Amino acid sequence: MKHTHFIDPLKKAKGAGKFKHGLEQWKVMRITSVFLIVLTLWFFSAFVSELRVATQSEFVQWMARPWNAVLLSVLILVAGMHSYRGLSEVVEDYVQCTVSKISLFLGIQLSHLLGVCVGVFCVLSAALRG
Amino acid sequence: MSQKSRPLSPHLQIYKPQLTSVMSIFHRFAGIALSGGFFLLLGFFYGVVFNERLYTCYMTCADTLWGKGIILGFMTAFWYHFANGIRHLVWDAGYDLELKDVYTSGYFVITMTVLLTFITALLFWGKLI
Repeated sequence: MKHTHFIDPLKKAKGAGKFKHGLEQWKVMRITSVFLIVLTLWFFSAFVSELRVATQSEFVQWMARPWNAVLLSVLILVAGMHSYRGLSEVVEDYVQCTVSKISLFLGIQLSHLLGVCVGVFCVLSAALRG
Repeated sequence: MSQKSRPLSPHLQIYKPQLTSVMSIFHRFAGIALSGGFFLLLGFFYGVVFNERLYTCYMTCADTLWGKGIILGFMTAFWYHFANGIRHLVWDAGYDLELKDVYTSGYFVITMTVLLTFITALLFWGKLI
């Protein structure tokens, strides 16, 4: 055994996780989930009442309305955050090999960053196209 | 005790599945599936705004039988994750933690998932509205 047994377990564990602070990760997941309850229900009702039967240009017009554009952007942002954190948590729990863990973290990070940016950009383009 | 001689527990292969453990892992499965659904939806938005061919592709796929099956799968995953997520929030607030209550809310979540998926499917493909 190396000299690590002099370090008490708590000291070793502190800051070891993906998000450094366990409480923060826990809080962000809860906060985003509460937001998502409201936002997904809003989007779902809009989908059923309007978007389901909309043509492509009607869909764009729907996106372009101010509140729809804002709420849809927030939905994409919050859902992206929840998905990013949730997937990372799963990887952290089940993947042990450091190389695949880090590659998965990077992949998740990059895809979500890109996805959220593209999504918000689409909504804003529809809104600002005029 | 060295790292290697630690006992492994629970042995998932012989561990009897219970409502609690099965619902817990399916919350994760549903969450992972919904992450995929999130990106599919983003692709759809991209198609709507920038790429007519992609949009048409989405609409054609959504009209086929397997497309509808996939959508139905996402609906189920969504409502399960939604209902079970609220169950988690209730636990986090410190309520409903007795084993009996956990089972009651578990069955309630499953019932709600079936019900909400059914209603959603009707609203989505039916001619109700």
